[in-house]
Amino acid sequence: MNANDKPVVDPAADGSDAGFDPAEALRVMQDQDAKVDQQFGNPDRKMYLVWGLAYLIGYLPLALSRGADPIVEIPIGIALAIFGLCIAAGIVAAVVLGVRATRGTRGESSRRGMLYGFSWWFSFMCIAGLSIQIGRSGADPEIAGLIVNGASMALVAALLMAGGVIWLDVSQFVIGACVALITLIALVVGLPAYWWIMCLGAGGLLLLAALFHRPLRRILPDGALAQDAAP
Amino acid sequence: MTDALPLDPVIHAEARLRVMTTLAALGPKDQMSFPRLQELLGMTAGNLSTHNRKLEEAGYITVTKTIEGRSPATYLALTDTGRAAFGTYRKALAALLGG
Repeated sequence: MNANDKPVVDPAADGSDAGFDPAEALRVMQDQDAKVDQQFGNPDRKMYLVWGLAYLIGYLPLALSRGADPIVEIPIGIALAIFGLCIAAGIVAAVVLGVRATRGTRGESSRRGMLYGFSWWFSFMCIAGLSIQIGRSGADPEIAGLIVNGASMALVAALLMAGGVIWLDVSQFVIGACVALITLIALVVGLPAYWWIMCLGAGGLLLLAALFHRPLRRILPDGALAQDAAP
Repeated sequence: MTDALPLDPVIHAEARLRVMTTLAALGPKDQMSFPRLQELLGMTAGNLSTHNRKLEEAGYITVTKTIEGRSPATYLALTDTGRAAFGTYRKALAALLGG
């Protein structure tokens, strides 16, 4: 029981509440909407925040330590390991957010969410396979890192765009398309700038998406808004 | 004055308004478990059941009882009628408040 909640009672025997002030009713609806949104609502904003931070922090040691005149000396293996840890932390947070968003519900949305979650796991298992094979090939660690990372980010972009299609969420689709564009630019420019472009580009993009999530969804309406507009 | 309000009396009570608002946040083909709804509303099980019965009698929500594993589970969802009634209520409330 939430200590802030007032006891909820109906004064009338027939269950109607004639004394319930309309302005109070509006406040109750807004309060409940906020509570639902916070506990169980759309997890996108938190997902963007988690991944924005994971990319910004994860790519930073690579960006700082690569190139002819690195800002800090960090062995490539360590820098890649830090990146891997940040991604692992991001995955754990994303799983928690995903499970929380559908906890205690069943139906179309939770089935979609579950299948969408599986699509990330299955496709990233292939990236793990690619990573193992490139590691075995004896390729230069930075080049190997670039190949695995470029493939991963292309997949991230594709899955974000797919999410936009599944939930008719134009903002998510646009963010996925921007990730694809940033990755393409980084791949065309190549090393060592690749790491800076991904750090500030992909990390910055997702942090901005988290920061401006609400206005973004207003500008780019999605399925939920279309539903609200229906009679 | 309140008698003249075009507000649906089934919805216009704090507890049921909270139930309707919470269930309206779900997708049209989604259901919420009774304990999850109870948690989001901060109501006792008995109080929530009483209000759910009124909403069910009005045809605004469906209450589905099922078995999950070995335990009984109850799921609730808005009906199309309930979703439409809630939409009408929101519009009536906005109009009443000069929105």
